[in-house]
Parts: sequence; C-alpha cells; structure tokens
Amino acid sequence: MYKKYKEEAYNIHVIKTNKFKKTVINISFRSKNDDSKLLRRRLLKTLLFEANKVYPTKRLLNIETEKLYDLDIYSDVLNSGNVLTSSFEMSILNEKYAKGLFEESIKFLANILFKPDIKNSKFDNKIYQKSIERIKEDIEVFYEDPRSYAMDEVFKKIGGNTPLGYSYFGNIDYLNKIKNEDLYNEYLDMINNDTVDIFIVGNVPDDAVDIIKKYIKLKNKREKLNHFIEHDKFSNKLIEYKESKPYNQSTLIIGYKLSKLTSYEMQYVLPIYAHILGGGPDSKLFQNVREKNSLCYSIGCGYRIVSNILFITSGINSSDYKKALKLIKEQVKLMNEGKFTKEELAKAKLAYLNAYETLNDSAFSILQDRIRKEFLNADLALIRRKKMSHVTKKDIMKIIPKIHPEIVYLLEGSKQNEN
Amino acid sequence: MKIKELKSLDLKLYEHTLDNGFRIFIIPMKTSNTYVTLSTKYGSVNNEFVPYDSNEMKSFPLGIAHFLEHKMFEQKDGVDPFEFFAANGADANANTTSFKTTYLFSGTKCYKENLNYLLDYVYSPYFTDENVEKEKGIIEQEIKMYEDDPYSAMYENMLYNTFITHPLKYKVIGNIESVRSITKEDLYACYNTFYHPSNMYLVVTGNVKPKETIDIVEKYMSKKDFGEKKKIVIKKYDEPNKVAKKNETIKMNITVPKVGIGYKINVSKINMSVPKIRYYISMFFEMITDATSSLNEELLNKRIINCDLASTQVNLDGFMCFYILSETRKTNTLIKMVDEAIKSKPINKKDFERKKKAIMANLIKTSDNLYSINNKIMSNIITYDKVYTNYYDLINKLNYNEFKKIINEIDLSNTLTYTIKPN
Repeated sequence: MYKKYKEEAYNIHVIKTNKFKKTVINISFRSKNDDSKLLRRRLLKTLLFEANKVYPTKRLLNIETEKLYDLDIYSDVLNSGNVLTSSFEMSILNEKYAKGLFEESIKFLANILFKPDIKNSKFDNKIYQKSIERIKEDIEVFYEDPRSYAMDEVFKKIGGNTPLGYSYFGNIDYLNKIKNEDLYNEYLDMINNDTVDIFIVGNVPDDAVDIIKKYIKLKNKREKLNHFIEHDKFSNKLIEYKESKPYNQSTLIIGYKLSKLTSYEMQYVLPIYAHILGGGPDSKLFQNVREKNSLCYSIGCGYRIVSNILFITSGINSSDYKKALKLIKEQVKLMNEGKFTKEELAKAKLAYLNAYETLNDSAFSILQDRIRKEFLNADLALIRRKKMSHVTKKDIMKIIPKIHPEIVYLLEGSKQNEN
Repeated sequence: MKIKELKSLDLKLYEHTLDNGFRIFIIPMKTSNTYVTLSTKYGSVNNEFVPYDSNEMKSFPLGIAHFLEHKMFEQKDGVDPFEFFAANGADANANTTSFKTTYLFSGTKCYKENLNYLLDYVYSPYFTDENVEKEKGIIEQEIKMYEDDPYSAMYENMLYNTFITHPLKYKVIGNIESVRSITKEDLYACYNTFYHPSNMYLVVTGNVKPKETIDIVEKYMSKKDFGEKKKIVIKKYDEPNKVAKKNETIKMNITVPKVGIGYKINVSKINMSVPKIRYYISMFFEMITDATSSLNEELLNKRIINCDLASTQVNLDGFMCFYILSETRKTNTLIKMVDEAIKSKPINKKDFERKKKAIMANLIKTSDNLYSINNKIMSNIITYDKVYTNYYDLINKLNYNEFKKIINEIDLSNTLTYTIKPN
C-alpha cells in the first residue's frame, strides 16, 4: 500500500507491507550536477560519517549502529545524468523484535545529517584533513581496477564537458583546492536547497510519518529536476583509442550515444535490444564471441538511461583485439538488420518479466522501483510487466537509427605480452 | 519427510533423503521467486582421490572441478542449458568453491520443467576432445581477470602461503598450465566419482511446495540408472599448525600498497560444538579489528590507514584462519600494530554482549532473503553434514565466560603477512 505525504520541503513516500522482517528507508538529496560539486559532496558524506555533536568519534558512531540491532546504514553520492544524488539508506529491524527501534534509528540518522561537528563555519580540521586523504585514496584505488579505469576513460571521451564526462569520483585536480569553508557552504547548500525525498518500505509503524517530521526538519520548497542528458552531436563512426598499462588482460569497450528515445523506447525497447545483444549467457555476444570463439570470459552489453548511452564491454587478449572487434561488430550489424529470432525476443522479454515479478521479494527493490518512478518518471514494475510483453521487432527496428557509434577503446594489458 | 522449525525465524525446513542417498532440503517462503541449487560435495580441494573405476589414488590437474562445472553446460543434443532456462524466464548459473560445485536457477515460472531440466543436464555429461579444448581459452581469460585484481591475488596467495599440505592452498580456478593439461578422460573420471546422487543435494527456498518438489525429484531419479553407490576415497592431509611461508611481498600495477595479516589457528582440541567455536573466534577478531574497535580508530587517527580494516576467514576441519586486509603506505607499522593488538587479546563483556545482539539481529534480517537462507543451508551441509535449525538459540546462549576461556586458550603464534607494492 503506497501513500505520499507532501511536506513543505520534502515528500515522504510510504509503502507498507508486512512481508519483511526489516524496514528500509532512503533519504535522497538531489541537486544539479557539476564536476566540482561531485567531489565536494563525496567529501561531505565522508565528514558526516566521521563524527558529530552526539557521537564525537567515528568509532562511537559505529558502536551505536551495533546497539541499534545491527543497523545497516549506507550513504553514496552518485552522478545520475544531469543530477547529483546524495543518498542515505538504512535497514532497520522490525518493531516486533525491538520496540521503539524505528524512532531511535531515525534519530540516529538525523544526528548524522543535522548535528555535524561544525564550529565557526568549519568542520573540525583534523577530520577535514582525514577526509581529504580518504577520498584521495578512494580515487587511487578505484582506478587500480582496469575496468573502472577504462569505463571512466570512455565516458570522459564521449561526454566531454557534459555530466556524462565527469569522473565517477570527481576530478582529482579539484581535491586539494577544496577548503574546509567550501564544505561548510556545500553542507548548507545540501540542507537548504537540495530536492529531498524520503522513501520507507516495510512494516512501517503507524506513527512513522510523525517520527520523520519530528526529526527531519527542513524548510523551503525545492525545485524539480531533470536527470536526462540529451545528445545533439554524434560522430556516427567508431573512433579508435588505445592505451597500454601493465595488466594481464586487455579491456575492450565500445560506446554508443542514443538520440531522442521516447519514454517507451527507453524503458522497454532499449533493454530488450541490449539483452538480445549482450544481456546474458544466451545472448548473441556471449554465444559468438565467448562460446564459439573462446576469445573472452566476460562480455556484455549495458546502458545508462539517464545518460543516453549504450556500451559493450569485454576482457580479451590484446592479440585477439581485431578478431574480437570484428565479431562484435558482426553481431551488432545482425541486430541492426533485424536478424534476431522471435525466440530471442521472447527470451529477452521473459528475463525482464521474471525480474519484475520477483521485485516484490525484496524491500530494497521495492524502494528502488518507487525511486525510479519519482526521479525519472519511470513506470512501476507492475506497469512494466504489462508493457514489456508488448515490445515488437518493429519497435526495436525503430530505435536502430537512434543508436550512434562513437568509440572503440582498448586498454591493452601489456603484461600479457610478456607471458 | 522430516519437518523442522527454524527457531525464531518463522520458517520451516522440510528434509527428505531418497533411497539412492540424494538429499533434499526445502524452505517455503512468502516470495514470488524460487531459488533452486543442486550441489555436489566436490570442490577444488578434492584433487587427489580414488576414481570410481580404480583402486588407486590418483592426482588430477588443479582447477579441474571448476573446469568440469563449465563443461556441464555442454549437452549432447546441442541445447544450451542457459538458453533453456532463459526460454522459461529463469536465471541460471553455476559456481565452484573449494568444497562444492553448485548448479542453480531462480524464476517464477515453469518450476517443474526447470527443476527436471536442472537434474537432467547435470546428470547428462557430454565431454568431447573438441569441446574440452574450446573451454581452455575462456578459462584462461577468467584466470587473467582475477590476476589483475589485487585483492583476489592477495587472498589466493595468502591461502597458498597458509597451508603446507592441504590443497586449499591452491586456487579454485587452477593455473594456465594445469587448465591446458585437462582432458575429457579426466573430466569423466571426476564426474563419475563425485556426481553420484549419494554425494549430492538439492536446496530449494522461496515459493515452493515441498511434496511436489520431492515427487518431481523422486520420479526423475527413478527413471535413471546412476550405478551403484560407492564410497568415495579422498586423500587425507595432515596439515601442520605452522604456515607455509611467513612473509612475502610482490609488485602489481597499483597505486596504494596493500597488506594482509593472517592467523592460522588450530581449533581441533577445543571441546565444544564447531558452530560455537566459530562464533566465538569470529567475534574475537571482529572485536579487535572491525570499525567499532579501538585498534581501527587508532590506525585511522594516526593516518596509518584511511579506510577501515577489512577481514575475511577461511575454515577447514580443525583450523580457522583469519585474514586482516588493509591499504596503507605504512605497511610495517600497520603489521606491527595489528599483530600486537590481536595478541594482547583485549576483550571485554560489554563489547561481547553488543556484538551478540548485533549477530542475532542480523540473523533475523537476513532470513527474509531466499538466497541467504539457501546459501546457509548449502554451507551447513558441506561443513556439518546437517542443517542447524537453532541458530537463534545457539547465539542467545553464547556467554562471556566461555568466550573468554576459548580466547585465552587459542594459539595466535602462527601468522603470516602478504604485501603488494606498486610496480
């Protein structure tokens, strides 16, 4: 049962169900994206979880989560197209097992959000320094993974100065320029100006909305945001980039921009296209590049709706690059010429229908379904189940001209040449 | 069919053993999805054994259990099991660990058909020289993918340096040379030895009717001749308490150095049930090293680490091994501080009671998840050959005095370190 409560500065979305032994809650702060903001928000998130006026050390904060019956609390800052989302998520054991736990947990989260350790418009300097070091290391470690590095390079090359081109973690060049005062201003910006939504799923106590209002006190009406990045420049050919690093395996990524997809095409037709091409072990890419030619272990096709891009990724030997690329291009060509069977189309639909049917088995999936509805105006799983089964071959053929080839990127593993 | 209650979790376990020794475990849950796993008690450590048609102990190439798992998806009729399940809207997969190999599917439709097919493809091996050869390139890429991941490299190399005789020291996947040497005859020898129903079990969790499932499996098994049930003779290893190699440093394409500190603990002399021992010793390591510990706080405050310490554990008959993992540019200082903190055994009742409460809450929260419950049952069968249905009571009865006694008894002198530095 879903109910939306409109408060002055935020909306509360409550989905009541007694299926689960836990209640999950998500508070999302959203703002317009920009490259330097991403890094400031990541730093801010780290600072908020370091200490506050109630829990003066990170250790005490962590101990409190155990006292609150192993409260799972998680926060992330993510690029979502034109929007930057800072989310705080918790999973709380039901009241049946621990009375009053819901309120205690909300209070705990409110302390993190609204009682930061700020004096004279600054965070504690030691904590600020620690957070800078932490983020720096996070960035360095993230790029140790060849796939993360390669994917970031592809997005940078396709996206340029648009939010699509922003690094996953934010531009490291900005890091040392961020002053303590900047973070205080960023904090105020998040609390006072971001668009805020609160989602709760589970055996929600009757007084949950009152509890939220008691602890989450925000003012001012916030603006509506549009997540979707739309492209207006296309290469319409695969431009090749190569780079070499000392890895054992080479990473191959092929990127495409998408233009003017309708909401229906975005939600239903594109997923089917990607699934037939490279959505799983029964896909064209898996069967032809891996199974028939033994060129890789992993290969797949994915997409990001908010950024309007489609990509193919694989791990190969660099000596097989030309052969693998030729085979991938052949499979894409077959798709684009409509050379896929009724059975392939039916299997792709079934995969999604199965995913939609099982969505209600997880409180987190129900929560994400509602978030997509609110933020991206996407259909709920219940509607998607009906509409997905109606996708036709004709629908797929209509999106082919909207898929624009952009880039072939090879991160060559130079170590494999030594083997 | 036996029915047992999973205490305090509002779940029931239905258990049944067929005449041929095949075991079935079912937990109905209020979900749309059904998760089915079919496992054989055969993993990467079962590398030296007496093959089904022989009387002599034989050694097989490393990584063969995992290779065999890949090859089970090859069928004589040319139908790809992935395609079959996809056509029925189900997700299918398989995985191999040190101690078992599992074939699985999950879905909301065609349960009967899918279950029959799962049994059918796993019980219809089809290996040819050609299809065995074809798989080698694929697995070679899988090996390389893991070799580029510093944490996989650290975990695998630390196991190698921990164990002296036990094959747990070797990678599940094997290595390029061993994989290249595998033949179809090797695969059949392993299959025929370990894939008899008496060495296998099915676990179903989610939207399932127990009787219907047992009837489907019974009917399928009755139509097929699996040959006689033979006792499987696997080589035993006398694993010493000491570690194979105390310290090692390698270089990789990374930026931030990584350190692993390992403890190999012989628990065979502790007179207590194995699950209890495991809870107590895990709680001890968490207490000293996790995000609530004073050690972690000190390391962060002194800027020796920037992220919390991480840890993982590996259990083997008679041994528990703990590995504390971290990223640091001050590798020696970190190793010294962690080792000193662990060996000083600074435990207290307040921390113990808090951790116990958190473990109980976690048990309840994860019991909503059909995958977690299924995994727990699978691992219980491998570890204990039975399913513990009273975890809640077991955790509830853990007590500080018993904990303190065990922690005082354990020997933490068998340690190892592993460091990965940038090229």
